[in-house]
Amino acid sequence: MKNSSTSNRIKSIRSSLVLTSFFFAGAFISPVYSKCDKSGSDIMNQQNKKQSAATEQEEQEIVILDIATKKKETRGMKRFMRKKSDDDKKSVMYFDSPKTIKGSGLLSWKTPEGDNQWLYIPELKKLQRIASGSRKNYFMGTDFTYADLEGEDLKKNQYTCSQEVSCQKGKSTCYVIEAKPISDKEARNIGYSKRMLLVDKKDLITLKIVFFDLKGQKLKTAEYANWVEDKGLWRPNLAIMDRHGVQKTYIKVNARTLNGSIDDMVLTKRFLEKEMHIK
Amino acid sequence: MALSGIIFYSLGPSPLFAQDFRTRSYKYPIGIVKSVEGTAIALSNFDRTLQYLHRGDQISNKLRLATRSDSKIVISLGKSGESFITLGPNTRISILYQSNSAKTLIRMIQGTLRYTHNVPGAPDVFIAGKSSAHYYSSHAFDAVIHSDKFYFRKNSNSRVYKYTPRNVGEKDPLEIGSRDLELLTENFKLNKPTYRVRKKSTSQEPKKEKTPELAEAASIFGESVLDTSSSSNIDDIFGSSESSSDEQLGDIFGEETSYQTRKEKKKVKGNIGLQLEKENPPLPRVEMANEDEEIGPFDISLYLKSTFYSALPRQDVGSIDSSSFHQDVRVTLGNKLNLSSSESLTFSGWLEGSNRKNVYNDVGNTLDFQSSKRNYFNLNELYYTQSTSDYDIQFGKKVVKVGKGIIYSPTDSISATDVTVPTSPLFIGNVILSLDYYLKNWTLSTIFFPVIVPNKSPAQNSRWTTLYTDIDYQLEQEFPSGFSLKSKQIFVKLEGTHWGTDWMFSFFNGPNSNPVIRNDIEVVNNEPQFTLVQEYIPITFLSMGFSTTFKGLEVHGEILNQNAQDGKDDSFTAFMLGGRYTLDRVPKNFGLNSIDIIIEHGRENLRSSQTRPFYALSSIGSRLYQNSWLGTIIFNVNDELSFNYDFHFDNKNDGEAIIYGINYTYGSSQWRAKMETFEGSDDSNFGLWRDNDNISLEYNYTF
Repeated sequence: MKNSSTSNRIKSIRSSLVLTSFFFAGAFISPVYSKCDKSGSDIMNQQNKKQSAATEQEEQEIVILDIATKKKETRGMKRFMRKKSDDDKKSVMYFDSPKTIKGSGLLSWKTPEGDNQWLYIPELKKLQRIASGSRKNYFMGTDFTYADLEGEDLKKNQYTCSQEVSCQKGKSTCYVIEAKPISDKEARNIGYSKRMLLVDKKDLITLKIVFFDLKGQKLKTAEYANWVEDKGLWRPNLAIMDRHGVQKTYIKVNARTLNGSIDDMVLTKRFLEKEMHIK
Repeated sequence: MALSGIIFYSLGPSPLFAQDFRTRSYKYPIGIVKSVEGTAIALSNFDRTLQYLHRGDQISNKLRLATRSDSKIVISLGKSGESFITLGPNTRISILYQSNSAKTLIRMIQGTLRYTHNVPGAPDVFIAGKSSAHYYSSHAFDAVIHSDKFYFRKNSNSRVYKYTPRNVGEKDPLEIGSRDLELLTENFKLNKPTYRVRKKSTSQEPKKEKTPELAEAASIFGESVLDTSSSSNIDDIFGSSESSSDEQLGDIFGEETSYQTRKEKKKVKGNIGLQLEKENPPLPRVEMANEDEEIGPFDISLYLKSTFYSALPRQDVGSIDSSSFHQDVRVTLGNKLNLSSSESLTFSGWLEGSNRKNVYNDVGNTLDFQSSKRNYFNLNELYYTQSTSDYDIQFGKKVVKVGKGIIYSPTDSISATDVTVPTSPLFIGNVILSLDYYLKNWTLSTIFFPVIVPNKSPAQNSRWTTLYTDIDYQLEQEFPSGFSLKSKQIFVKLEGTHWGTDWMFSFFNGPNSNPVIRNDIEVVNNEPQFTLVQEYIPITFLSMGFSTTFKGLEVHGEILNQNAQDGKDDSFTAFMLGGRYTLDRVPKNFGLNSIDIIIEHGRENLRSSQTRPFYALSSIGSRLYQNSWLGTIIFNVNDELSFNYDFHFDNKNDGEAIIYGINYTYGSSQWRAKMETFEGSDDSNFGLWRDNDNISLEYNYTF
């Protein structure tokens, strides 16, 4: 705690200097580094407790940008999630535009017995079970894998907090946390050797994630911005996944409800099979 | 935005536009981008390319750099990163490198620039205004172009150096005093752009020790994390927000979208979800906020297919369509109308035409669902749905898919299919009245088929027919009449998920959708007259299916036991076992994104053959998977381009059908080129299609 309070004081002084002395605000701030006051797993557990919602509903606009050609592809997606516990979670997401993929949906059930995922493609008129080993595959052409969309799995990662630093723009303090899969098998399942998380210390929200492939090379970066508070929970209204030099995926949240009621039916196979999600 | 607009306009569209300049080799690499905030652009004089800069990009000579408003970029120069250039907002510079004197010459066009040089000796970056003949430098300096005037100020106690390009070859640059400089800015105060001079000289700044954490961070994120003389905050570790300036997000989302890394207390729009209802309430639709999208009358797509056959069809029997080129055109329409929160009406159909001979019904028979021929307008689906929390009721015409197989499903034999062109099947929809009852993870479905919609076989005179015969025959259809268990189809299915596996159990009773052929002989004027009758024989079947996963492998299977009445058709047991796997590591070594593999094995055990007199052919001709390996291997190059290899090895008849395809998707357009080849024993389907090897080109556009 002493380290933390000292670092905050230093940070405050430096911030004042920045405001009064330099141009390019933020560019010449000397960094503030100190050791973490909590373990990585404690931080992530606290984040899970503090920021988890029992239900989430979102209407998203997804833009996939090809870096080389500058070609943009825009998709509309809706997402529903219910979480009873870390081992009991159901979600469904589906595209409602453009027409070429309209109605394609993914249903995920996480249960103590294991994970279940089904994919619905309207042309096939069948809900097909897909293997969870495909979690490392990119979801419908975006830069987010199926695993990325599942969110943090505290039981399948080891979290180590390496330092506290000033966050972007120097406005607050962040933890730098390394998330490593608990086993090589899990690493192969999700396709990452590790991830580095930048977690806001005050609100315990993840601002940025750097992903490393199985060879340890930097693979892509997720950045979360435009944070809003709803019912005491912070959520980003903008997520940017940058597969450096290849493609970027922008996700903008146009509407969200946290801890609202979701009909049980929405999270069943019936919802997709009967095409209740298609308007 | 304005700046980029100027640049884009001046360059105009070019095939080289926006190539990745990092992949280009430049003669003199002079530095690396350490961080970017907002948007910075590099234009190369070498090959007229433009690139948005990111951390880690290489900076070479003969470049022009530009930053947008609220943007900045830090560039590390030299091999050891001993010098740094920072460009402020709305800045444009031109970089030239003098290789023989190891000098980087920067000509400022607009904006603000800061330079620091942290090693002893003369600096290696010199700067000039737009038209100045001389370049100046110091160990730390700021430079500004304001109102078309160039201002230079040193920020350390080091001397100021002057360099003249024509002096190339001189060992030492000319040293000048500050008195000699043009437009010294000691007392100059700028209001716009904001220009605050850093008080502490970077050349005097003590070097930071590498802590273990910093060392590790440096190894992860690059040496920039150790750079305390420039932008060395956490931006260096996690990169900057270069991808997320307001202007760029505006470009992305086509509107003013702001980027805020800071958190703001802002309420999002109200409830967008369902209200939880109790006790069999009408099911509410999923309503989201901002639901203001317009619903068009139809989803429309256009499909074109050109097929070129390698040989003429058999000429020894009948009058077979002799064309070696077929052209198909199809316009598909569809829509779903939500009548209320619990009721909907779904419609889909297509208009089509082709030069295939004897394939189409007369226009007047368009709504004859039982015809063995195709219709110019096919009403594929038109059904009503009513849902409550516990059950769904549906009636109308609807595509019914029930099995677990991906390519071959024995239970899907109840699903009405048009195989007029067997390698391009169409699901034409059954006439149904169904009730689905939901209980936890299980569903009990009952489907009643008041009208039999038979599968459509290849036309009698088509090159795809398997009914080659020398006899001049008439082919007629005979459907069971009346209302009984023998004349109406009913299907019951229990489906659910347990032990991580999807299970399906089903029962069917009624006329088989795949007809048998009965041979009626009449004697007219002492001459025998043959009439072949397609008869829909009552059958029953029980089937069971499953789908589960083992790590990355999805496995599915079905078993179906079918009994025919009075020996009019075969009785058999059909099996199917298959799997699906995606390879996504090894293919990357070959430039592929992934390889999807689907393989299924179909097998049939014939328990009793058709024995009834005057019955010429059982439904065996429609049962293609009696001992077959079939599958598809899809080689995904990227999201747009893929290749596929489809196969069906018919071990029973020593035959094979192979399809090689190339698929390309661009926006709303999809192209597919494919080659189909057939081989097999003379009596087998694939053997009869030996002359049907073909190349086809398909195009699909979704409006």
